[in-house]
Amino acid sequence: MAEKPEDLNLPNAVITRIIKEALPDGVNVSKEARRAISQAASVFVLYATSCANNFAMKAKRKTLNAGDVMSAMEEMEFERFLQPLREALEAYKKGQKGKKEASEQKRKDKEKKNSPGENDKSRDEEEDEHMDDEQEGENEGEEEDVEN
Amino acid sequence: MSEKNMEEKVEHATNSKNVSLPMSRVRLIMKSSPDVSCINQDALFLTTKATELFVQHLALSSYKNGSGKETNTLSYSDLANAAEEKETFQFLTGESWPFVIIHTIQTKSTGV
Repeated sequence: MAEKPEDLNLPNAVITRIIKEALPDGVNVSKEARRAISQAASVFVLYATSCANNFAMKAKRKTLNAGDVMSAMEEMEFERFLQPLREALEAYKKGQKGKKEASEQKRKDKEKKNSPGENDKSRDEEEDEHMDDEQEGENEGEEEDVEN
Repeated sequence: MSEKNMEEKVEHATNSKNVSLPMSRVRLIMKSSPDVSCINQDALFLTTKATELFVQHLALSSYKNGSGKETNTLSYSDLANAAEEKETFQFLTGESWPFVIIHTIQTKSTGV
């Protein structure tokens, strides 16, 4: 049997908020309905991931990328999501760029205080948050330049 | 771990256009899928955002489609009906899945 859905649940409070925002004002949501939607959301993630992964595998890639997810949405007949997703991704990427610049500044400040040895540790921690199992050569190149 | 939570809070504060659902949790679910090795950050974001859109879509469709309009309440049966009747929600009925989501919920509500 696959993992039980309750082990991979999404936070109730957030799910409830999203539901309330979607429904007309004053509409109540039963506890069972809320739980069902929460679990449906987990199933959705699994289904979307599985679908997206098929596209990645077809392209002989090991990493799931944004395009795979978009293709999965189409496959699942959620074309209505495509446009809002594209827009959200744009905004997200812009935000990420700003954050990356901010965290690089933070790291530069840290460098002034810490020794080079410790520097590597904090750098790795920050990178782990942004990247999954990938290494971006671009980042490492930049950092080498700064280390003086 | 706490750094991650802090980062997410900063995200919420500065980027209200982004997502409410925690991407770390979504990543956990995605990783539980067999054959998935690496997930690009943009893909994780899109999946999280899509899940939010899905929750909205499911809630609203079920409400419109069901008898909730009279009682002003979205009930479990509204959802079950939507899952049965609407093609895009068919995957929730568990026919093509190794586990059946609706039945799991039914047993859960009587049990613990």
